[in-house]
Amino acid sequence: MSDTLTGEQPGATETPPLEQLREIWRDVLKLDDVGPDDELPYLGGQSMQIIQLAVRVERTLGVKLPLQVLVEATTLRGVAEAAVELRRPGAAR
Amino acid sequence: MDRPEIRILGVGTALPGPLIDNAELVRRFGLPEVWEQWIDTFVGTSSRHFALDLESGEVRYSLADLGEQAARRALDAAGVEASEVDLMVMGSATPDKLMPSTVTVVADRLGVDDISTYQLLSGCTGAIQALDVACQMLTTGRHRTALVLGGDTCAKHLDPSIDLAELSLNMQVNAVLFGDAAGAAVLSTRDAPEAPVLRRVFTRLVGRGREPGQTVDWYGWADRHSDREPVTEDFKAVEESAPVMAAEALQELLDDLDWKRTDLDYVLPPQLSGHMTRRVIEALDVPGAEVVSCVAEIGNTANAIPFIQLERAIPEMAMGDRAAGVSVEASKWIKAGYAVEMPDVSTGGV
Repeated sequence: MSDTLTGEQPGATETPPLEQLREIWRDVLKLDDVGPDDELPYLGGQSMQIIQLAVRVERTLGVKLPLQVLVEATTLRGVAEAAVELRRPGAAR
Repeated sequence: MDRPEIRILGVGTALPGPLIDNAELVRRFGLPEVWEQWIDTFVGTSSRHFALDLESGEVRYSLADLGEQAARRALDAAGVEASEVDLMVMGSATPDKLMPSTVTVVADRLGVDDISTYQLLSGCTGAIQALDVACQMLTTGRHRTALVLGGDTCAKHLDPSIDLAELSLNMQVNAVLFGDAAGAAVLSTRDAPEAPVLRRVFTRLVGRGREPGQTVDWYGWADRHSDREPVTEDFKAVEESAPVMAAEALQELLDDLDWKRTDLDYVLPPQLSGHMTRRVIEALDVPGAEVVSCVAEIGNTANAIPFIQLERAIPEMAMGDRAAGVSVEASKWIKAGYAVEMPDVSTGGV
């Protein structure tokens, strides 16, 4: 399950939530494009961008990511893994 | 002619309704839950009071209601009768109406008449502008006892029936920054040797050629259907400028009084948000002074702030203690400050 979600399944390239995250990051941060392992811009202090990302992630994936995950995220794959972890049944929200 | 000493005879404040915490605010406005975490982390404000009931949307308190309550408390604290007040000055960004001015409505309720009244429309430095105007008028000798008021309410800007989540990010952030309150102080040139002395008050516009950091629009019959946003804020500009302007204001105050940073026992910083206030305190660089801050608890209460801070600080001040208050207004960029000193009556004054 988590392999599928993070796009690690053999044959699957960019499945949810990676593709959804990619769209969110491109929209909010006005990035031309961003690959799963591309380095993300550091968002320390960018509180307005952080809330926009957080709201879109909560609405799209139904998870409340700890904001620190967004601030410290280095790649979309890392964010996707955190989101998958939070979506696991019984995971602390 | 010697400048008469202006004393703060009493301070009073009024906070409407119960404290609303972040969870309730976010729930009531239908914002995604992650907002609660964001307010905690990036705004640093945990609760606030509102003049309206968030469940029903009913406005429970007008600014005049809060102003009257604060004024009565200030008069009580001062031991001054309303009939002794011969000057009233109020600062607000959110008067109940453009006319009649809220200050005149409060005067009427207090039974005050046949005096000079002034109302200044301004953001967070409005209360300090009101203190400044009152001080200057007391200095002329034409007036002896002034009731100075400041306050704001979000009642015109918060509509619980609107889906806030669908509004712009700017409107959403504004909804979580502010809290409602009013405050008042009785200033007088009368002989009151044990009362704290208002040593200096100043305000300074520094916005020439600069875009406003905050705008609050108003509507009339002709443009009532306008889709202009009622409130806008350039948060980035505010974040960058507030600490610098606050530090400049404090320095100007200290230079003017020939006080050193180490002379300060209390500092009353701007209260934009809990997070910003922490940054401003660092910029003020007065590690020896006790910080009097209430923004984390009650939000940015704009023109009520100096009174709330003074009401907390003055009872704590020992003989000879010195306090400096600073404010920054982002609208067209105004910095302001005031200094209070507790007389050392054991040595015959300060």
